[in-house]
Amino acid sequence: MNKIFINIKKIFLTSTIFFATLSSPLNANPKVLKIGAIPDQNQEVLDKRFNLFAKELAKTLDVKVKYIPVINYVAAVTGFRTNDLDLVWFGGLSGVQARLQTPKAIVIAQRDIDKEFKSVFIVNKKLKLDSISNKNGLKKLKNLRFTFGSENSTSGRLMPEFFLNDAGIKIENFKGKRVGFSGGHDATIALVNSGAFDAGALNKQVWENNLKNNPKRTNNVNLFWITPDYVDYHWVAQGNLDNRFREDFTKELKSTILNLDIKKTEHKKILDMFNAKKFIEAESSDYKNIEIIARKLKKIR
Amino acid sequence: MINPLLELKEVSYKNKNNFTLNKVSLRIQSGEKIALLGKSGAGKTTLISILNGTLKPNKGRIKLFNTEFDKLNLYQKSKISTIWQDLRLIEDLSAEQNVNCGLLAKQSFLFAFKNLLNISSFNKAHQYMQVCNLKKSIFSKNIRKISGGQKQRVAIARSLIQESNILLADEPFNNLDPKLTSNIKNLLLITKNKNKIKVPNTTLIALHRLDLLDGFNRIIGMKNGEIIFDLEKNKLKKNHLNKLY
Amino acid sequence: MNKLKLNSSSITFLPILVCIPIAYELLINFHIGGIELFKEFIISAFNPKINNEIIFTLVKRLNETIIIAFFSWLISIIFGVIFGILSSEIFYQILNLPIFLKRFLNLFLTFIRSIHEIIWGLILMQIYGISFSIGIIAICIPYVAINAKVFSEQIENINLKTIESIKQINGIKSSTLITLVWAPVIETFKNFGLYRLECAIRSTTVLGLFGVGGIGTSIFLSFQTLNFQELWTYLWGLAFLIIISKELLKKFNLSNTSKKFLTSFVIALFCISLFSLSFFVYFIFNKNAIPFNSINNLLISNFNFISYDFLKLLLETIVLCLLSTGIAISFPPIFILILNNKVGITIIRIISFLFRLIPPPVLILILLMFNDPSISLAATTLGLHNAAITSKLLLANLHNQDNKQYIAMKSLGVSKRSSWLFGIFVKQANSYLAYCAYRSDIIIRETAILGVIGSVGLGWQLQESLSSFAWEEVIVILFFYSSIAIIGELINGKIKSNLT
Repeated sequence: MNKIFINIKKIFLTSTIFFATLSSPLNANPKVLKIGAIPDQNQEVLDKRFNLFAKELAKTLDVKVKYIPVINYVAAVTGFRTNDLDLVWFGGLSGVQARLQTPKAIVIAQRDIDKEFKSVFIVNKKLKLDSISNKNGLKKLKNLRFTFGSENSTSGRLMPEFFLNDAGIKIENFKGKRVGFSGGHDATIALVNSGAFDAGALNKQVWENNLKNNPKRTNNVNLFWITPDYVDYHWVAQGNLDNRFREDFTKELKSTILNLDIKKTEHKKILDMFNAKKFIEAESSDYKNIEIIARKLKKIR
Repeated sequence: MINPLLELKEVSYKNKNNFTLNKVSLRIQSGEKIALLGKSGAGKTTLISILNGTLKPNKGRIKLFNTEFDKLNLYQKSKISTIWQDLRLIEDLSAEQNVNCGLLAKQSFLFAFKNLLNISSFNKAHQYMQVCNLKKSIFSKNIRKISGGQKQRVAIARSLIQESNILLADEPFNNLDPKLTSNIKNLLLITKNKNKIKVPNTTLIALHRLDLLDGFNRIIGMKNGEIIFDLEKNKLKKNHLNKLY
Repeated sequence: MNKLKLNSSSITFLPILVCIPIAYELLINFHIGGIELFKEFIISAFNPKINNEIIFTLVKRLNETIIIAFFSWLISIIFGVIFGILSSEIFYQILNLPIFLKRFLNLFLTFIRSIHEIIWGLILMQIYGISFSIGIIAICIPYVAINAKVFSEQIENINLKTIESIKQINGIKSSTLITLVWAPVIETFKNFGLYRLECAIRSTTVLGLFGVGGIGTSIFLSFQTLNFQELWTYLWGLAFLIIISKELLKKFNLSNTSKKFLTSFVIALFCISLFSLSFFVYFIFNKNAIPFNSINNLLISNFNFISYDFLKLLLETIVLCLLSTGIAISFPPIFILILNNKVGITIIRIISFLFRLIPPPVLILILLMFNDPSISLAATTLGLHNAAITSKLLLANLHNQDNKQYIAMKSLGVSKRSSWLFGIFVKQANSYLAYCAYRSDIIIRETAILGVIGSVGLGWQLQESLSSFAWEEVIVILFFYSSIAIIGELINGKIKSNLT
């Protein structure tokens, strides 16, 4: 009787060890460069853009490259910190957050347009508000239903909120003492266009794209104000890539991105999807201002 | 004098519900067939619960095989089997699974597990159930779905399959018709039987029917938690019984 | 004048009073801005997008959902049973262990289940990044604790005398234990465990809304781009999955199976539990986890954050719970009373199915189209979703009850509605209320997810703190969340024991 009991104990012990060893190598191949991006636009657009980009990187760097889509800004920052992502297309704020949490991270590049990036405020046509020429006009937005994009978006939340505060408008001044978070720039347009919200703020790039490609979606929306410029999106890479792949890998990566040339048809496709003419050098010090604003608005503590 | 099999020394028991025993002393020798008489509430069930170790007495000592009850190991304790008045079968299990529960003391954990999954061997259980006059058709029936008399016999089969040395039975003939009653009584009291199953040779049966006293060799009468007489069968007189009721 | 007597059936109707403040606030905040969108949403329900590409994505997403839901369900049932046994008194009785261990374990389980799986998911995502197993672990943690509670409640119901009798056989302790707990465990599994799969599917969907993957992710993405036709394709796919899984489980019968199958089933269960346990341990220790520097911050940070605003959020959360519980309790009986005929009941069934199907976060986004965010809006959403669940149970119980009294009263000339009320409903009122008490436990936890989206209460603050990686705030909020939930559970426990 007792023998069988001891046997059960033995089986239990051995199988635990067996399963423990079996389940440990679950982590994947370290030789794959995993790229990611903050989900600021429709997933289809992002999928196309970054899959194309991944192909180009794989070709020139001769490593496996995989694009891993994430669902929100926070997930992108966390994925970067936990080494699930090696190279990420961050916004200004999310990039600063990610670099604060992953101290060895390196800023690789930004687009030509990111040096002087802008946001736009839009309003529903039914309100019959004329566009304004300076920030003080923002007061007209008081007591309206207002929506930002994602909570951690630089152009969809951080900078618009900063300019609103600058003009003396607090979140409490909007209707219901709250603002909405649409989750993305496209969604902000759709919500303001439908009338679900009266006004919103978003990335100027996405706004212009929609004006050009989807006039139907912007039928009921008027441009209200264009903000002054600030720095935004940038590529951030892990600091350990040289160790993991080969010597000077980070350098090669950087030059691949910087050498994307609009005159080559292959490269033009990629750059067009990024709405850029080329990528340029960037320094982490460029984003000092964003960090200061983010600390003011308590997005970084 | 030889050491008794089971011994109570001045055992007292009291609980909230007032089932009490008052300084009961009792020695049971191997091979005795004891009938325990008394009105309901006299303390029979409490005495049986104390004898099988379910209740701990407030005062006094119990010895089995000349050892204090608390110092016994599981194997020694399993030498006592009990038929409860309220049967205490496990509902939701089948009749044969319930009978197999009686084997838990002799078998491994794996057996218990297989029994619950319904994939253990039921040969032995079937043998005991047949001896207890249970028909094949109810073997695999859920215990909720069989009659009171059948449940009674399942409980008896469960205690017999334990193949213990001492059988304590609390009104085991409830729910049984006269013919079955005499069959079962013979089964419990006659150690050597034609069925080739091992029946405990020491038996203590609590009864309230006086017409069933044949076959016992010792009669104990209880009233208000005390033993008022303890005699051999042939010395039992009518006035003893009058004291009881 | 007759005094209003409070009995359980009137208590089920009384909470309808919460509709007054809710309706008031909803009316103030009403606007027709999003009416076009809403029209489009409704029309799309009958006209979902169907083409090869979307069917392919749908199948892929449903597959992910099934995998996450099924494994988290299975694992949470296995460990639910184990912890259920460990946290019931019988275990300590049979093994002669000190009872304080049980109290300790119970405390631990109560804490774990007081936090909603979505919150676990959000936190785990913060710590471990995005990975497939996050979904399973996040669902498993509270589910194990909830299942453990239900199983241990059933195990505690075992007759004390039966325990004594099996103990008296003096078999090995483990045999005695398993023999005793087997029947209640199997019964609970049949009655409760199978239904938990549906819950797991729903939870997986909602977790998907927050990025774990599966159908929820698709639902969220198509909603965010306001692509309602696509949205409905996914929603109908989800409906299909829920219905199919329910039908399959109905056919699942433990007793009518061959020995070989049973043996392999048991071996499979054993392997899965071992595997999940070792994986969990591996997962916890092998990832470069927890931002320790921020835990240091926690010690330094001056808690100026617990301020007036914070108390306001706390209050909002409590009000939200109360209002939505009111709706969840009172709506089903009232609507069944009003629409008490075959057509009416069918309509209620269909509507409640839809409210169960659409995840609450999506529901509130839809309602946000023509209403400003407010507590009432969140309460309406949460209330309706839960009323759909309570109404399912109520309808099932009413259906199973014999209607002799109802027929007798009707033949006496009592009106159909009153005879339904006094002939049928009265009998169910107690058990219905007991179930609602249990449901309100869940509502308290669910306020978290609605808060995240509907910008109400602590949930919103939690999202904001998580997205600015302010761990000390997250911990404070979680502490308050679980205290609300634990207090709620205690109160509900009292109510339940009074009812039965």
